Amino acid sequence: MTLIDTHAAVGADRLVVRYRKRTALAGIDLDLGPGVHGLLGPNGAGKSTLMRVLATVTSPTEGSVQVAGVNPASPGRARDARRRLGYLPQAFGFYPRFTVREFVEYFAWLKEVPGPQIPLAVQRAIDRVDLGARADEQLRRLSGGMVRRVGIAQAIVNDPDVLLLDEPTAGLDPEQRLDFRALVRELGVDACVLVSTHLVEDVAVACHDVVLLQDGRLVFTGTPDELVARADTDAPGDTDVERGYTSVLRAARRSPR
Amino acid sequence: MTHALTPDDGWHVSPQLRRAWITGTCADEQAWSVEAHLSECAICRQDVARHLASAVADIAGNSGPRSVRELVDDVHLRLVDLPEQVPLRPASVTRRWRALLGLRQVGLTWAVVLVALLAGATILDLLAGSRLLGGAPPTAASGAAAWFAGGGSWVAAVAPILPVLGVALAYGPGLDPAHEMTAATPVAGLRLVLWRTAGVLLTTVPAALVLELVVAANRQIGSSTPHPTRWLLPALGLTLVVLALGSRVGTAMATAGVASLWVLGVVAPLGTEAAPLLLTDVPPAFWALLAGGAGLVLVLRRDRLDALHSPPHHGGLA
Repeated sequence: MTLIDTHAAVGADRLVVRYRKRTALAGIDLDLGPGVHGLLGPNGAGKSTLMRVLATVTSPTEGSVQVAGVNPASPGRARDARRRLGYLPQAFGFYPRFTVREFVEYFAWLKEVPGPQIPLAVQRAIDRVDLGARADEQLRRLSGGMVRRVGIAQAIVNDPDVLLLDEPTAGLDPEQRLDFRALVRELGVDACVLVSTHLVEDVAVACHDVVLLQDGRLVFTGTPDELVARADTDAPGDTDVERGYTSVLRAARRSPR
Repeated sequence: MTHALTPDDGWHVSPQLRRAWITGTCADEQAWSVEAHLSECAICRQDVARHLASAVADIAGNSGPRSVRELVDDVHLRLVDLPEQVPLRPASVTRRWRALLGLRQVGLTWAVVLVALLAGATILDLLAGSRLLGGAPPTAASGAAAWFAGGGSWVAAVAPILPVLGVALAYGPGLDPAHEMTAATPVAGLRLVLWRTAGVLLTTVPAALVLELVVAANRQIGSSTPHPTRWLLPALGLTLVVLALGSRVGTAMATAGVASLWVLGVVAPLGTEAAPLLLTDVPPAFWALLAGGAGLVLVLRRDRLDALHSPPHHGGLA
């Protein structure tokens, strides 16, 4: 079991990502194991960039990352990492004329799930996101929330050790978000799940710990309770977690780099 | 009906839990919930049965104690004794190809790509064809350097790579809506581009052949006949050879090897008296046979294509 646990992890070592002149990530050190980790931060803080680097879609400008126990800098290692990876990007592009089953099956194949296991793996993934009844409908006939769930299904079809979900709750109604939290908690039992979201409440309920980014820097890591404890009494926010969130961001803005 | 197969909460036994249950290493409460679930869920029962078989094959091997094997066979049989209950469609090769090429998605784009490739090959052929075969072929005595200098086409030397470049562009980040997700999968990169190229060429070559036959049947005396297949067949043959070799030695290695051989075949004659054999005298039938042979290898090795360098944890317990 220990062998498997080492795979259910992501890490970053002095990670810097620059797009031309703009610095998206300015030196991130991160070490996350199995469990559900919430990635919070204002727009433009670098959440999606961090997701993309961990998903091996973007390369670090400086520093390195570890994904599922390997450094994906070389093509061979990247392939090893990608086999154990599930990724739902923020801009989830899909093929409207594919059926749910075809789409998930296509990604099972791209992820090198062995041929004989594909039908069961696809059925399992579709069941887990509760789309069994719509499995043979085209994606264009599904609602936005259902399409998101198809995106989650393709991410989990290879039983990933590392699951990266970028704004997965966008477009889900409140009830679906409850189902989603339950699914994520279950996945987090044996995988390293990193969920980026702008909904602070999601993180408080569904995540074991919180990673907070601002301006490409890590300004907080800890449990949701620890985030609550950081709340100033005068901080804006409707809940304790939100007040903790805004307090940490204000403190980070004030402190010199 | 789905609800007859699986409990409706959508929960299934995870691979890690399954592994722990099979080896008897999970906690009692977990084991109970797994067993309760298995009694309801045909999918997980099959899943467990499949992994049980491979786990025992790993542990016992073929020479394992007979009593253990018999016991496991018995358990296994009872677990998988559900032949028609799970109406799972097997992953068909046709659906895989259609998905790979985005056929359902880009019906029109697809037609445009096909026509563009066909037109490109035909135009190339008409421009260079007269010099290659139709007009005044360079004599052997003039040598390879003179053959190139005298209009022997450099385009022919790079022709096999052109469809690959076209496909890389057509399925790039700008045009493929799922590109971001695809880029995070192990197939992404050179291999995916080559598979798509093979798919594109496999449909273009027959179209080119039809075009040639139609033109040949209607051609007037004195006019030249285009031979688009002469450009497309080597590309198809080499692409399939790279994929077939790649299933054994890795795609990067296979590409480097085949590309080196091609360059050698084109460049080596420069010092000699002969025109480059690869570009002039190799009959289309050779490329067709090469493509057919490589295609056969790919069909025979189809199971290994997915499993190449697979980490052990896909296979079961190991």
